[in-house]
Amino acid sequence: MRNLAVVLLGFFLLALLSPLLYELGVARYVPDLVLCMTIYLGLTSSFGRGLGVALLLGLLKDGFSLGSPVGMYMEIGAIAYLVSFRLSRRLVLRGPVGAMLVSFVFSLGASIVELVLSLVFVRDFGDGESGPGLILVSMIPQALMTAPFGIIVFWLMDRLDALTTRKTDSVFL
Amino acid sequence: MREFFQRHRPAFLAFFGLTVPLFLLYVHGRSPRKTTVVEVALMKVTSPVQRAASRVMRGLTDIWDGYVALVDVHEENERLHDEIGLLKEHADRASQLELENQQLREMLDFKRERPELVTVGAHIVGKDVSPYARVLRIALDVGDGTVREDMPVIDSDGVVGRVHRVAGDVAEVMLLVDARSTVNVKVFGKRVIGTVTGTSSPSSYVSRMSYLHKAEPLEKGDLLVTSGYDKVFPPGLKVGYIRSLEERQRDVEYELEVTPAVNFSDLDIVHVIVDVKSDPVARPAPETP
Repeated sequence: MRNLAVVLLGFFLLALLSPLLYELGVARYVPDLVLCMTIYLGLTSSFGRGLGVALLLGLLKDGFSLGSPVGMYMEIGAIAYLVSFRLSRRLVLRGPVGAMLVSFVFSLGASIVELVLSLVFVRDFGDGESGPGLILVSMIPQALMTAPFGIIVFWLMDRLDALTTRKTDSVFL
Repeated sequence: MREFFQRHRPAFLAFFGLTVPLFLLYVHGRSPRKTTVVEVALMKVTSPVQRAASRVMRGLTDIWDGYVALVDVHEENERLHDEIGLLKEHADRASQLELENQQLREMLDFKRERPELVTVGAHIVGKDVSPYARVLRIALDVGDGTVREDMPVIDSDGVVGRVHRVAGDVAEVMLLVDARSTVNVKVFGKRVIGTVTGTSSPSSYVSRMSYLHKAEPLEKGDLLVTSGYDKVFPPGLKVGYIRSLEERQRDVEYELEVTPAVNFSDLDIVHVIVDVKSDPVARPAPETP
């Protein structure tokens, strides 16, 4: 039930994000909401199911990321999930600042992984200086854009957990 | 065996979770290639939702423009302002229709000028959520396999881009300004030929062109049109105008910044060139700014 709700929430957020950006003319930096959801899953879920949901969310993001080859955000999601799952054993995250910080760091990491995967797998990506240079220049603003949305996504996921698992306490906020 | 799998279950799952996406990435990172089953399935799943969300968003924008902005007015003037809001909404709709009408009229003129180009119309329904690509999703007026990958996409002002992926009546268009996009061009009225490449710049819609030897003097504002040599874009379509010239190596290599002829932030309707009739008619020269 919880996993289905998470996938549906991810689908809903991605579906809203794309036309919202187009209508508002916001094209420069896009908050990576699915990445924030994946981090939350890694910090709170059981291994197998969480990984499955993270892969599904990545695949959905691949569906909405019109320019990227399928598999790009699945791979980033899988890596983000595995790292955050390992971190959950060593790190106790509390409060909005923690949520922002972890979203910021993971967003930077995701940009680096995207750069490496694009250079290895996407043909023509390395031609000229536009592709790699663009990711390098954009990664910090992109992470700064994602960080505050980490709080919102973590709060949403907390509420979703409360609804689907009858949990009463808030994990992060 | 089962015991072994149970003991190492997390390792197996992690391996599976990391290799399946890599395999997909390997398959889909190649180019040029046909749209795959996975891409078609993803587009079929995401497009209807995206289209619905797009409609909802437009509706909300209309409501915001028409009513919510008037919430703070004085109570005595509420009725009057409601009427103004209604009229404004009607006026907005009328100007939207007028704009659409104008776009269609311009396209009709363009089609009269270039009768050899067979096109199908499409509405833009969404943009990508990745900050590193310049791709639009369009809903086609036809869905019978007429539109295929790499077909040119234009509007009345010039080249928009090319079809990147297709699934039924939905397609993705890689814009001229996407870093992976290349178009062979010539400078209108001059003997200079080169390739315009996108930049995917997050701050502006701009492309670049580099070429060797200044065969003829080029100036800011010179018009670039498709040469037709790349076998993708028919010749004579407007691509953009020279914004600036930079000498990279004295008298040897030059780089141009190109402002696209099409205003990408204002696009609503585009046309896919599905065929070029073999008997082209004499066409008038494109207008320079």
